Amino acid sequence: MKNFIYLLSFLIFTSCYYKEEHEERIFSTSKTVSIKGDNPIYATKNFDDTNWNTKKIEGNGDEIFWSRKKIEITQQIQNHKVTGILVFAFGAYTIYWDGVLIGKNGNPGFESSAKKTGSFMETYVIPTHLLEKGQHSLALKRSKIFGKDDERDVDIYIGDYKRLVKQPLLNAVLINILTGAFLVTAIYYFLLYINDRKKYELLLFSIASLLFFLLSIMEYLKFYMPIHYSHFYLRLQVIGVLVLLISFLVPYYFSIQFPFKKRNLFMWIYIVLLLGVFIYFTGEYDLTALLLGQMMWFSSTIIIIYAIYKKQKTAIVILIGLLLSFIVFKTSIYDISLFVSFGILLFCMFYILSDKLKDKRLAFEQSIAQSTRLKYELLKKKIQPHFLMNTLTSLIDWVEEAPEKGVEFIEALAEEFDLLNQVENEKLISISQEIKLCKSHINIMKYRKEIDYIWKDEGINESENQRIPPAVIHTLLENGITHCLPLDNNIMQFKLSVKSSVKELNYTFITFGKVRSKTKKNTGGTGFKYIKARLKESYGNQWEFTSNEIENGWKNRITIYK
Amino acid sequence: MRILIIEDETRIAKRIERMTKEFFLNTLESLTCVHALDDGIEYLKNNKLDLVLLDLNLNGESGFDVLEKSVSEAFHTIIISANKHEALTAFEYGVLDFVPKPFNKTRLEQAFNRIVKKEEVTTENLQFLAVKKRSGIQLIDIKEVLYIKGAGVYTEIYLRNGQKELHDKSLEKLSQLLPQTFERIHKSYLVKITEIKEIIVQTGSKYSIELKNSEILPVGRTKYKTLKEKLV
Repeated sequence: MKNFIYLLSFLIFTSCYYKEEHEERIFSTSKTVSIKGDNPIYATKNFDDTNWNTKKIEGNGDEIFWSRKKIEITQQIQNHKVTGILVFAFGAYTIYWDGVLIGKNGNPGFESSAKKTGSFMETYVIPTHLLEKGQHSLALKRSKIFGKDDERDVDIYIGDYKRLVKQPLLNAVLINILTGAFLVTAIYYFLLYINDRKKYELLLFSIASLLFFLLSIMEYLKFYMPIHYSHFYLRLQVIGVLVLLISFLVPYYFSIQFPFKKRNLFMWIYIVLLLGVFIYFTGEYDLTALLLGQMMWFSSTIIIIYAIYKKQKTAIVILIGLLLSFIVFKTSIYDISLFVSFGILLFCMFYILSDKLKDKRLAFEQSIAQSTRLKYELLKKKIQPHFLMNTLTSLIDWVEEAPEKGVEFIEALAEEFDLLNQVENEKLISISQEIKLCKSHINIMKYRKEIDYIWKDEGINESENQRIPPAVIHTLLENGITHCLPLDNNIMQFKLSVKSSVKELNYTFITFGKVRSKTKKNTGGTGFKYIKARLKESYGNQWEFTSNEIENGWKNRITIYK
Repeated sequence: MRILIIEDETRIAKRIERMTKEFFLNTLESLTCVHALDDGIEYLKNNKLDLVLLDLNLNGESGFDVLEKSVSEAFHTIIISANKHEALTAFEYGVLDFVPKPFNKTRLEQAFNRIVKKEEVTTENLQFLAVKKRSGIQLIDIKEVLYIKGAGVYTEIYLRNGQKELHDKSLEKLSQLLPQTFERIHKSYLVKITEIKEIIVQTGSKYSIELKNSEILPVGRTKYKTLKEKLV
């Protein structure tokens, strides 16, 4: 897995070195000048526009206004090359190159009555005979009824036409491959989450993937879908919100996977800062995205470094990923940095997720193995030679010496085996069932040890959900019989008290007898291990078990927290 | 016969007691039954015994500590235990017999007969001889033993490294326990056959053997024949 990550990071990283075939800039341009009113002469190449306004002009309804731009072609262009001009302009316009109409974007002067057609970004072919080295003019007959306050200057780029049209699409295709992967990931992990609602991190990861998907789509949408100038800012706003959500989600995800103290405080402060930046820099879209991205990176790095300090698994890999994304971020242009660094982040998230899922799976498998082992231990209690052979030896003796008692003994033995068969597959049984098991064990031991065992219990309530893992009290009973001697009158008494409240369930089991060999502490050995393993299996860490000597006996206490 | 039973199961202890009484009848000098290891160890300290019947798993504790102590003593030890898989280890330590539970009268009497009829144990399992030292019980690997010399009620074990250890068991009892590689060559000597270099015949039908380490040991007149057969 690690090797795979390194390989993939390397591949992602190397993609940053992919350089586009560089095209030399072949033009220079002046500021845009504008004037209200309409006159066909404004289109002509040598029209004197020196008294035109260099400030932006606000259109008024369907009112026509003109904008002109002086352009100098600085290099002789080869004849066979089709050259194009990429125009960023708000509004509907017809466009003239040296007085020749080269294109139309929307319907200037009729915007209010026509559909929203045209795009804020369009490419036109410049006639080859009008491309000689030297001065040229660009004139736009425009109208603009939407977006009064936020006009951008008319911006142009001149270059190989095929390249102008194809290159963005090619980029979009490549990005969409990544985008598709984001979408599939989002759907897949969402389905996983649907099937296992407890795994909150699956949902987070799915949402993050979805956000990355939407962000990529929105970022590259302009290259293959004409976006009317009135929607230009809408797209940027959507991107802004997506970046905001991602900037929150990524560190939040890391904080969930690598929890730390005061996480909530940390996240709340972070949210306030994010929103602060988002609101303060409203309108400066790329800057906002950049700042939010850096905040996300910074906060994630803090979380990860703390996780490394806490020796959390996989954190070091994530740090490498973060550093890598930072390098990419710093060394490449905005569009690439955004996706490659986000891609790396998503991959980091994915790596943690897969690692944690693996851990969970292992833990699950272990718990199954543990359950099987406990079941086996429960059964072994009755077939382990010490119990079985001693019982059989006593049994032979009873049969030989007092056959009737021998039969009773066999019946007691049968009962215990029967009870054990009933509970062998259960993880939890009712306390009354457990008591039956204990009583039948006492019955057997009575014949073996020839001691008067007395059983008492209190607080048993069938209507309440008093449950316990099988053979837990039984194990304590066995310990009591093994480690205690009867009192002077050959009597040994056991008492089980059950107390249940809203918060906890309490079992107290006391053996009244003389504790054998006081020098040796009763560590309990395998018996206690069995009890603890059983409690852990059913209650996780929500239990407590104590066992200690008291005057005239031994006291065990099991508390289960609800 | 002075016998101690160490058994925590009352019913079984009674059974052993009853069968022991029935077997030894009036040869029985004393028969004591204890239910716990500590009591057993205490009794061993203060009383002279001929036989201990020991359960290896008492009240959840392993009886091997007692076993080590028990086998180093002058008396024989018979194990009566539910854990058959411990039999081999018990024999390695040097018990006379291992009676698995559940047992019947015949099996227990078979074990008793080994003492009474001085039957040799036909197992080859003995691995160690437990000797009492000031620091506690020490287990001596029988591979290290060259020969054993009887010295009254106890024995001297001569080792490959030239050292000598004392054992509380008589030569009689040890010869019952030791594998057949050990041969009684004299009323006071048990020798490992593989250590014998040659038999020396001296004038006046006096026999002796030379060990590989050049030590000379006497051979009893009556033992010469069987020894010669075994060596050829």
